[in-house]
Amino acid sequence: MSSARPAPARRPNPLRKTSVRAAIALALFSIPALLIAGTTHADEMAVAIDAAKKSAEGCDNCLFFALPTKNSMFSQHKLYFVSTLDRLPPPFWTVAMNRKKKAYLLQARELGGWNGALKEAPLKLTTDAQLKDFAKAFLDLAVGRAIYLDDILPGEKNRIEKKMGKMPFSQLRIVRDKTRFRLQFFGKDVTGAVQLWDLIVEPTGHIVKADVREF
Amino acid sequence: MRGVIAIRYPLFWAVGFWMVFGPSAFATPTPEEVSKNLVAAFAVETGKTPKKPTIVNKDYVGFKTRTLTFGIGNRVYRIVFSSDGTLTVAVTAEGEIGAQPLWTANLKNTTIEEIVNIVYSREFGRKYDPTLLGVTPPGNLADQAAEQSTGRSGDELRMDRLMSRIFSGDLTAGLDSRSSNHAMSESAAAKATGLSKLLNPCDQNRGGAQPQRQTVSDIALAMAAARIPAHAAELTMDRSRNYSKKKGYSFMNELGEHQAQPNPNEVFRLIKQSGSDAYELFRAALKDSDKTTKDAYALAAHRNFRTVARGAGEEKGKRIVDQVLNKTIVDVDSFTSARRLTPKAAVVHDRKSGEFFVDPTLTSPTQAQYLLSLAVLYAWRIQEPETLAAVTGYEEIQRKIARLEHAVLDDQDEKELAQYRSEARKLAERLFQISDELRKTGTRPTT
Repeated sequence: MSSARPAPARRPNPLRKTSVRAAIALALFSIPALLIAGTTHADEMAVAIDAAKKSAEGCDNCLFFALPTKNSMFSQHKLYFVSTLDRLPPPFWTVAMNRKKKAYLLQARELGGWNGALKEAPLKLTTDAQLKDFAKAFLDLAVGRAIYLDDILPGEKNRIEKKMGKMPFSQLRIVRDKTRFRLQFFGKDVTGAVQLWDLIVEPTGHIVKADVREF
Repeated sequence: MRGVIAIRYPLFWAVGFWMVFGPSAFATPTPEEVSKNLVAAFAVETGKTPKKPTIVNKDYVGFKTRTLTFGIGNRVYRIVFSSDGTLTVAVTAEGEIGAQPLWTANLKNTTIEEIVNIVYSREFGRKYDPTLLGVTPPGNLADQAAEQSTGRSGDELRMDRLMSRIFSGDLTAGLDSRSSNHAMSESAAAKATGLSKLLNPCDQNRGGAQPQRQTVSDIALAMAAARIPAHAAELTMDRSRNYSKKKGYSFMNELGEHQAQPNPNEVFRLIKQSGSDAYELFRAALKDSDKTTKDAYALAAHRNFRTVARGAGEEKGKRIVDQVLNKTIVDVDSFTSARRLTPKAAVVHDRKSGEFFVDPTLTSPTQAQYLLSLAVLYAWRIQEPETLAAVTGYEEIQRKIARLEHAVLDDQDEKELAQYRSEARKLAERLFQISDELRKTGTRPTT
């Protein structure tokens, strides 16, 4: 007599069950989340465009477009580049937006936006490397995608010397005060013009004064 | 010995002859001659001597101009003699800032009579008749010289032939010491030497003939060089260089030189009127001749035109030039208002209205050319099919998004909206690339 042991009843795979449930849950939550995220993103873009529009006098009916961007100096803010092709050369704005969707226009001509945004999330500038990054961020965001120049080409040097007599410096010059820095550096804007920037900056990133000379 | 002189210095004798019979038989019109004839013609016609015309010499890179300015009544005539052999006559009426071109010709094929006639006929409404007025027509000077030569000796006639050969381009005949001119007699040589002695102001003692010979030889060489460049490789090169440099010359440039404070409206009006001037620039841009001028604005304009000419082609380019000229606005207020968004721009284009607002402070003709070239460049770039497709596509998508955002949406609509937003973002990225390129586009003058 052999007693055959009954085959054990097949038990559902708990792991499988969990994964299915997880997938369903993920799908259920992610679709609205994505939609919400998309909506939020679109809303922020609209806010950024509105902020640019307000400063675009005479271009009320222009077709604006915005593109998100990032910069380590504005870690607490969302950054957008805004432009339009209804005017040539195309005007250009950088908008920093906080979590409450308050927009600041980052412009070298009008430093209120830059200082306002950095007041909300102050920087701690101490080292030369940080100051160099700050100068790069300033050129990229406030001067409309201008680039920082590490070296000056011979032709550019000639042009500068023609206007200034002699080349004052070629690389970033930092003059430290008790509470402030003076940064002098060369940049190149999108039109190819070499610019000599002279900034007085507080360690928080607040710009007290910004002067520029073009060559 | 005398025979040796005759063999060694054929040009010496040639110049002697030239001095005997006068330079007018061979010369192209000069401002001085035209001035003299103009004054004579107007003096006879009006009964009083008009104010003497002024002659201004200007040195450009690679060429020179001599401008004769003749004021009569309420009009000022400017006759520009260019070293490249062109002649331009223009008139400015009272109250007008810009000059109106009347005539352009090749100086070599022009007589003084013709030049005077342009001014005379415009003033008096009839053709200038130099014989009635007692002015010898320059065209008859050669005949006069021929008449005079009938009584000359055989040597002089041979000399005449030699001169004709030299001036017709046969330099070798003149330079060859074994040529037939050795037969020249002493009389012609003595005459030429004597004349050259008299004409040489440096010779205080009037002693030996050597300095005079040298002077005459120098003049002769200069004359021959000027007349026969085809025989001298260097001179040919110089001429070709001048020719390429000349491309940078424009009547507009010349015009600008004579305007104390040119009104930009006027400059643009003239550019519009002389559309060919703009086309000329455009055509020149197709050829690689960057070094025609050192003017930063002219160079920048040339490069901008070249970009369009190479990208769009000449015909399309010309059409764009016409479009731009018809839509250009030179107005301080409009420009100030348009430039608020782009403070450094010299030209601002409004895509919807199609208007080009140009910087009214850039007033010189080369600056006006630069503004025109930049406007043409913008017009071309914005009309590119890819740019238009991206802009219209983005506009369309934004319209769809706006429609869906203001409606009650079901799941399908939500998906559609998300898709549109994704497409809009892609198009925005492309538009940003275009925007960046357009901000970088155009050569700016580097002074």
